[in-house]
Amino acid sequence: MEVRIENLTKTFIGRKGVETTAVNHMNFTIPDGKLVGLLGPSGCGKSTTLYMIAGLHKPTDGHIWFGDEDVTNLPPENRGIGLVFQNYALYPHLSVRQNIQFPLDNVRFAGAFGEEKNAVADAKHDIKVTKHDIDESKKAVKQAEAAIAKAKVKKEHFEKAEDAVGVEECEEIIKRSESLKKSAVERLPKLEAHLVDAEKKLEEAVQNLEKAKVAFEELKVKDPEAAKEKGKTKLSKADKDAIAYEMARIVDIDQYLDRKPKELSGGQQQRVAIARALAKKPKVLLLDEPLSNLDARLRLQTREEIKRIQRETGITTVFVTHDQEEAMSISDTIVVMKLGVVQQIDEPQKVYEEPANLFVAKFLGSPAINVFDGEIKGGKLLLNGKVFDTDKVYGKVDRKVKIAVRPESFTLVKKGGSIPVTVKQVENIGRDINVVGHVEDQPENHLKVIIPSELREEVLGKEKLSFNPKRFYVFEEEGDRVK
Amino acid sequence: MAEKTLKLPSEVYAEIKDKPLIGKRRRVQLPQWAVAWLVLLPALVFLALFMFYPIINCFFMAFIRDFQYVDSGGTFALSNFFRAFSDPCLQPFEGAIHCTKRLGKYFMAFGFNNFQTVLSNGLFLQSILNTAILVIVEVPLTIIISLLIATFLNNIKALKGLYQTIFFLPYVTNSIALGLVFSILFSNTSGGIMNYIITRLGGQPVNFLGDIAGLPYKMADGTIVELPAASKFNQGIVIVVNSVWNGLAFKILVFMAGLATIDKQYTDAARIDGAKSFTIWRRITLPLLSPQILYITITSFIGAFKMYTGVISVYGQGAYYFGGINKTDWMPVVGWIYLQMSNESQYKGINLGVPAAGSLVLLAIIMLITAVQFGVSKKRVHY
Repeated sequence: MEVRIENLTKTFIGRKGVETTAVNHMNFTIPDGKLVGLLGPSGCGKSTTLYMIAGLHKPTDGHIWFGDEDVTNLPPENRGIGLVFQNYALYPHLSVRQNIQFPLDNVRFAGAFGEEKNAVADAKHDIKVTKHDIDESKKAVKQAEAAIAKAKVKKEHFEKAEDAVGVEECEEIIKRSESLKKSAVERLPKLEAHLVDAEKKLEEAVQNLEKAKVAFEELKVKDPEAAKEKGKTKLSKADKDAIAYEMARIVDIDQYLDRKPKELSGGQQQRVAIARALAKKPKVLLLDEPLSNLDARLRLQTREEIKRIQRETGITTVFVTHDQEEAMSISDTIVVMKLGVVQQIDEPQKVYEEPANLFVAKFLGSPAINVFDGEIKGGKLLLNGKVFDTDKVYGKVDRKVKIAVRPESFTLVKKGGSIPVTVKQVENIGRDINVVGHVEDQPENHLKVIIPSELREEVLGKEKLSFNPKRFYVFEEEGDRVK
Repeated sequence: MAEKTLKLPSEVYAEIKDKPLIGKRRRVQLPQWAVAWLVLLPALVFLALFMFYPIINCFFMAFIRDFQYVDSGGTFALSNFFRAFSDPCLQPFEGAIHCTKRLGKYFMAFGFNNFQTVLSNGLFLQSILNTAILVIVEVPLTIIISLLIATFLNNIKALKGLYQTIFFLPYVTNSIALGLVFSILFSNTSGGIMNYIITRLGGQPVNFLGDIAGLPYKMADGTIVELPAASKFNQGIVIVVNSVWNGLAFKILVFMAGLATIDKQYTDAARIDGAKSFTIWRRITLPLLSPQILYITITSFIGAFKMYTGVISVYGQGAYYFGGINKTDWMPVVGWIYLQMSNESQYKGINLGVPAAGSLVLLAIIMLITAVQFGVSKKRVHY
């Protein structure tokens, strides 16, 4: 199921009437069967977006589409979604099995002649609506006629008083009312025809229902088992048990089915929550920071598990997280958000390699990207007054800019590199070495460079080093990327 | 306005660096248990005086023949066990099991005679039946109503505080006053709103509380209708309505507090899982509220078995009037016990052993039912 977010906005009104916009005109589409990560710092509106997709929050503006269906005003219970809460929200008084079966308990079938019954109800509804429309149209005709009569009297009055403006106004009213009357009169025969149609349909539907009832009675006599199967309105206990077991097996908790949630570890609870969300075969699976309560090892493991389950089931999934690494590793697409505004939507690697703005560049990657001050002068990019980029001609306007380089994109050179660095400290972290310091003459811009540990000898004890960037990004002072 | 400049933490540390700290003299320290006893002492003294001693005394009294306040041992009931054989007032227990065992010049006035008296007293048995009926009708009713009200109060947003205050009012109102209000609401006089509603809806006026026939009721059209004497059923309605209303406030309060502790995520999760409101209430909210429900059920049962003011207040005709010509229509067990201690009893305030035995029977019933409730609750309450 494709999920489409259109112009979605959510404004909360606080205690003193202060408005806070949590989500601001958001647009994106999640293709069928993909896993999308909503990524952003705390308070950026990613959970609010998720809850709006779930239906627990009502959007202030905008629409949410599941496939071709506009679900914006649908209550959560009718949306067919699965949601895994941040702290799982497993029902503490129910066993794991009962927790997984809870969504199944709420499944209701229409019963033996449900289709026919629904057809009758639809026809009845159609008739009611059509009748209402006819009444409205008739009323509109009458109102228009009354308005015309009134305007005519007024017009005469104005004509006598030789008030040209008044006459014109009255003519305007008459014209408008007449067009209204015309459209209403034109509408009426169509509606009446439709009413006749609808009544015929109702008759048919009622007959079909009668037939279905008779057929069902016959079936009851002929094949009681089949009749029972056809007439059932709920899932049987055996069916529910089968599904619960299958779901528990997928998330690997089938040996704990009879335990209560509090008798399980955090990771197991988390998997029960996923099983519960999957049990009713949701069209969309929503995960609200599902890994934040797990320890580091379990987090890695569960992350892979979620990816596996998502691939296996092929359910369109939205995953909320503030952990960029988590989002990068698990998602097909990342939506980066800041203060309710989408910053970038792209594949994980693209978001990392081609950040749309300084915020995205800073938010992704660990250790964070290094940012220092540069300058554009006469179309050239300068760092500390020296030409930084010889290949490219930048715009004519002279201005200050930010230059950003990822920690791993530095190459050490003996002399004359474009980034002179004052070293404060060298950290060993096994495979790599971290060089901590700052760009010369820019002590406020901290710098962290990761270089392979073979270069240890060349780095140790030196106060100044020289680097060349393998790759860098240039941003305006306000944060937009300079292309 | 000038902004207040904050000191640097280093400045604060520098300032306080050389200041002497409060002396660390060794003090005599009582062990923890001794401190606990010391703190509990005042409460224990009062409990001992006004609770433990009367309870123990009550136990002894119940097994003593002709308990007497003024005797060689003062009011301590145990002393009544051994009384001078020569005491002319005393006769050996009739039908008692351990009676008249001689111990020198004393004999034991000890036995189950009081219980025999109590359990063969028709009025006592009737009072037990009355209480049982009131308990069985009132307790479930009041719990269900308060649960519903608490649920609805929990779900509304506008004017929640106002409604909460309204429902809490009975709690701060004197129960006798409440009873009087209900006796007026159900009366045949001009304040009798219930009869007004009944007649307006086309029914016949009802005598709810009056024990004599022929009370006049003025219909809306001015005609006077004479009412028959109040049936026991009619009186029961007023008593139940009064006590249900009386008990609502506290129960609503407890349920509201319980509902507030239920994480909204559970109901959100249940909605996502496709449950309708009633299903959520039945399958999620109620089980999560079960500790509070158990607490309220047990305290309500105990409270209802001890019912007394709830009955006399709706009649408003004194401490020993429980409705009807005989004044005993809805006599509760506690009422019976009080009556035995009053001058209106056949024992004329002499034999406190009989009401003491009555209290013990009531205690036994309450203990038994509470034990059963705890037993049943083990499976159904989720902590």
